[in-house]
Amino acid sequence: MSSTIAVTTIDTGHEDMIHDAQMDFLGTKLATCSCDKSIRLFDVNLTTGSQNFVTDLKGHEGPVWQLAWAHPRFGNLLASCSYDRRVIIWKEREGGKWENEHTYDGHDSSVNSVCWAPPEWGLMLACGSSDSSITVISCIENRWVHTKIANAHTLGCNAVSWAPAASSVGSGSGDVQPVRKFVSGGCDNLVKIWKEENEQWVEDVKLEGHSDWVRDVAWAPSAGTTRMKIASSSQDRRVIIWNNTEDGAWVPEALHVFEDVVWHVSWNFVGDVLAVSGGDNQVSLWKKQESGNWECISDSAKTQQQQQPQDHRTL
Amino acid sequence: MEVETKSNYGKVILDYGPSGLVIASVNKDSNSTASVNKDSNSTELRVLHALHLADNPFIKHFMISSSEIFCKLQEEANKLFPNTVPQSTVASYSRKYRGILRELVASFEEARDSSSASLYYNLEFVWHFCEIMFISSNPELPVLPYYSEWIHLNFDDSKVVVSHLEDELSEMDSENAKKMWGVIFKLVFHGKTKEAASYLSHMNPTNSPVVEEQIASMSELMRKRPVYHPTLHSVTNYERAWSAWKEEVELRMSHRIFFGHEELLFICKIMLGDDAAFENAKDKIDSWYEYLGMTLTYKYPTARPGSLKGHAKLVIEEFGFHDPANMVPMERVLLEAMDYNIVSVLRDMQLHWNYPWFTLHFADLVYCNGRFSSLKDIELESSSVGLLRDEFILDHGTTLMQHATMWQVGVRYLESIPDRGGWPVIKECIQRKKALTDFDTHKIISVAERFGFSGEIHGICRERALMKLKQGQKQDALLWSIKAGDGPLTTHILDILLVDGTCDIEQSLLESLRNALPCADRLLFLTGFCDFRKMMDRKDLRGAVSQLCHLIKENLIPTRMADKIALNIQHFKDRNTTFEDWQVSTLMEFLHTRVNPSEVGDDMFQKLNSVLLCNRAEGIVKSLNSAKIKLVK
Repeated sequence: MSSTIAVTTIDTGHEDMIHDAQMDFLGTKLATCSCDKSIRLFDVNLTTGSQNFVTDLKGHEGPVWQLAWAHPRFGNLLASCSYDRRVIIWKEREGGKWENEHTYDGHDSSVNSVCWAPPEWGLMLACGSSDSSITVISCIENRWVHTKIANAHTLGCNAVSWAPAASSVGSGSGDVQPVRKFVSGGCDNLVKIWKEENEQWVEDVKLEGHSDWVRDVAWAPSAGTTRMKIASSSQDRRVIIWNNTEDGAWVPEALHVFEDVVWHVSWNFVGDVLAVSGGDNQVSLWKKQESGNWECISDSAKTQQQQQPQDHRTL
Repeated sequence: MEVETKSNYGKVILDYGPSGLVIASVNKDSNSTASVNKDSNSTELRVLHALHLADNPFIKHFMISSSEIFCKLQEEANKLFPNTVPQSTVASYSRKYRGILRELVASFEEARDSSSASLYYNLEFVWHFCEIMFISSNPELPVLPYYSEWIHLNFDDSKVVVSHLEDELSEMDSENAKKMWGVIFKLVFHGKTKEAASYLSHMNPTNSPVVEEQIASMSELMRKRPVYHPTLHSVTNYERAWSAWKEEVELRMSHRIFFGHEELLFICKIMLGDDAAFENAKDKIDSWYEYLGMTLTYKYPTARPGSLKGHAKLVIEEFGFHDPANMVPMERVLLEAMDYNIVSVLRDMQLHWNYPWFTLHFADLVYCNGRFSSLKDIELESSSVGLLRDEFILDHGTTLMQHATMWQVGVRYLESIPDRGGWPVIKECIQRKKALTDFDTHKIISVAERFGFSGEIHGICRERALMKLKQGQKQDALLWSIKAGDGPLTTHILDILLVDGTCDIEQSLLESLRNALPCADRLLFLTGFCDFRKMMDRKDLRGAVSQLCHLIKENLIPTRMADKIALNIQHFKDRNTTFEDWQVSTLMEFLHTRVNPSEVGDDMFQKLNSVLLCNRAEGIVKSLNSAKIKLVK
């Protein structure tokens, strides 16, 4: 019973290469950012295929690398990070106008990654920079507070991703974790887990497994899974799944060795399917089967055409 | 050191969005031959969106029907826990699932979607066989009744053929006679000898008395063939009857009763289990499982379910219907079922169909029945079945949760996973439901309340409040923000509401606000001001003034409202009503310290001032007069 894949093409109108595209939490808004230093917003309806350009946000002075939508309970908030060393938080005001809510320019080099924390922890985000540091920016009583982690990754930090707030381990109702954590990947080939301790961020675990720069990290949502896991992708063409065991250790599991550098990894919202994209221009979806092996359930070749239900009449 | 590789070509941007979609941007790379789309523009995005299965109305109806069956079974299982659901009950549920599968096939056939019809036809075919092996049949009793029924249901086209020949039955030409014999043979192969016998009377076109006699003899044999039924016969009695019947067939054969009639001789030999006749029958049979059915019917009528695999292998290998290596996946599933290998059946069905409908519902049936855990000699990984069931429910439930209207069906599945295993998915999914109307939002909240997801309820209400505010529906936004228990947002919305100073809020809203937990000072002002307005409407000036003074004393009146509130003083002019000294003083102080004369206008300010002065003066006069009366007395 394969489902049909529909493809919607959106001409973003950017004047240069796109570096990131993010749907908001409810799947109704799309934000794109580009080397042309701008961010463009669209209202989209994928069921009908409609798309309306909303606005473009100008404020960065260099290529914009990544975007992140905050949880809708905080209103329409979008964070962006750029080569210009800045992180800008944009907010939609009444009347639909988007404004710069806050600018953080405390980094000394390109800011490569930005990611909002789970909403249970309030309005908080982490950003990683080529200056080796990571900053956690929090909004506390309408004030923006910045906590820097210096020398998080020598040579630069490329990616950050937050742990889910609720753990499904041993509890179906999902108790909120008392300790806030996030994972980062950097040019030191390392994946690191950071935890908050006495209002400071300290290194919790160092995960060694890649032999080249770590390009992306993604902490899996815990909704459909029993144990925590992190996916990391690297210049070494590998994707590693780090599985958290009962005794707290993180055990690596190689997903696959790809043809080219793997740029991005992204979990579905339940945390049981991993999307991987690489320099070979291929996108593949991976799922752990009952046998315990990760298997590719879909790749670019299949998604290029509409899939039809297979005919099994002949036995 | 800068991250220089960001500008490299060949990078695909990825976001596994909330609706299970992947966004991929293909950047122009003339050097890459592996490009997903070579002609793409680097500023174009391709959004890949999986259309939901339930968008098809037939599938949607099918999924709703199957969820109803599923939920009823869970209710029954829960009632009987810790006992399992009886075999007969589980079998009846299995037949219900097959019933809706057949309805779905019929719907697709009617819509001329032969591909989908075929898909679900095959699903029902395999399901039925698995039902026989894992649910209906008893491993210690003959399997033939169930097997024959399965074969006959799926391969009987006698009614169709006969209906086409109906008008010509009495006078058939040779071509039609051939077709009719084909029908009769098929019925014999399927063990439906009584039905076959009913058509034999049409097969004497020349009205030959010899043929008539032969047909009558064969019809009698066919009708007398014993058919095993588990509730009616013991195996021993059946075997005895079967042997007796076989002997009679052999006797008539040896007496050459059917001599000269090719077709009747063929049927007789089939019924005797003659190998040469079986070999000839291959040309008239479509599949090895039909052939297997014939083998069981006439050679091994009391074969147990556990021996099916051995007979099947013989049929497949010796008679060469299929090279086992070239078997289609469904045939492999049938053989795995014959091995009682439920885990392999489920895994292969999941792999083959890439969707858990079959595996989930079938695993659930086996799980609820639980009988294999108590049967000897059958190695059934019953513990694995439970785990697989939960996995498939999670998969199916999550898929349903992503649908705009089917998500509540998904909730029903997810909450059936033991130990609240599905709750995290429900929690995650309901946050992402796009509620287009307040009604939709209330539906989502009612589900969240059922599971005690208080955080999510607050979040959903807050989002709704923000959305209403954006749409300019401030009073609705206020209601939702109060529901969210969000003090700062409520204050913000109230400030917006009060900005024009008219406090034009619906009475019913104010009433409901009164009962709500006061989470903002603005709320206290509004409820108090509501009382003030009601009293003014009732011309209860004393009460109104008292209420207003209370608001002033408690410092509840927002600054920007002071001017507008003060205008009400002009209505306090009433010769018959004088206020307390302290009330007049309070109002006077309010007028002179909080109200901006330039805002209300100098004339109005004077007017308000004089109303208070006059009231004070009348109060003094009244008190002097009453003192004078006392003195006089």
